[in-house]
Amino acid sequence: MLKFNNNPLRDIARSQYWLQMYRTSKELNGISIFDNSRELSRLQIIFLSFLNLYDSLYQDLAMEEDLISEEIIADDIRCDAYLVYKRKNRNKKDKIDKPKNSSGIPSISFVTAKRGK
Amino acid sequence: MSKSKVKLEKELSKKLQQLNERETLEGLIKNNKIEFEVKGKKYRVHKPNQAESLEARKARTKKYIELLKSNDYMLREQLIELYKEKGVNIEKLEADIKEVGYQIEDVQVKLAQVPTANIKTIDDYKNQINDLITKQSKISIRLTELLEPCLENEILEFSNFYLVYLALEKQDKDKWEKYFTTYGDFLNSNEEELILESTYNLSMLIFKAKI
Repeated sequence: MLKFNNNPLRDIARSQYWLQMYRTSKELNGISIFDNSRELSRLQIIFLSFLNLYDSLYQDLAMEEDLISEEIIADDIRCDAYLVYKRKNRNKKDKIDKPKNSSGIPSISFVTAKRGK
Repeated sequence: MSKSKVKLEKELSKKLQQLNERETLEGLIKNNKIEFEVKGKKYRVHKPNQAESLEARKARTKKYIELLKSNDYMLREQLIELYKEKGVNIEKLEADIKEVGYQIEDVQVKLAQVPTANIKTIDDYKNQINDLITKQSKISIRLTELLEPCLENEILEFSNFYLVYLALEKQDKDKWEKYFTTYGDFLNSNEEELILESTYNLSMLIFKAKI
């Protein structure tokens, strides 16, 4: 099997230790997972977005969503592929489900008769 | 030493290295300051606070107006027009980056649907994605090189250096204190290694505006 390296920051973000820290901090609103609670660094902001991503992927796994597995979560390239597939599928589904007007009630079209008729 | 023992030692040293990398990275994540050493002395950079960011913004605006008045620099748009006259199409390069992005997404959609057991197909798609990412990076690097002399880039460089001046600290016994007293001191400094190391570390703490 060929070797494709994972991003080390993503490896840390998908670890159970950090995911649990993240979930606890979300539950106990206001508890920071970092030493600093303000002026987050670029690295911290990116890391938080990865924590949020892997938390939602594990939720997908628990909900037995289509095409997700532990192997995919552990692999950066497959993980990104799954996210693109999911977004494209959701966009497609939204287009099908979307009602033609914003109220969702079938609209009545009024046709004005032409003058003289 | 037996072959398996050599292999085991190599594995162990690789694992220790990975562990070290991971520990270093976790250390960087935990707070918004990065400590480092240059020539045996301890330094650190911190994420600029609100007052420092405001000072940097004021200095940047002043510099921007100064460069705008000078005839030595071109705005990004002017540079793009000049390139057009020379037969280099910047907009085409930007469109190419987007197009390769769409190609990557097409392969990703295929890869997402391959079962884990199908290792060969997975590796083929991964290779295709890696090749496309490399292609995209090459165009992106070319674009950055071409736009390097624009005024906006000059301002970005100035901001980065100004932030290094504001955020670099040295350790004096147990206390951390600002390394450069004035921006003039920073400009007159010949400590290239220290400035390079500081700039690199600071880039992990702050976002850079895209040119």
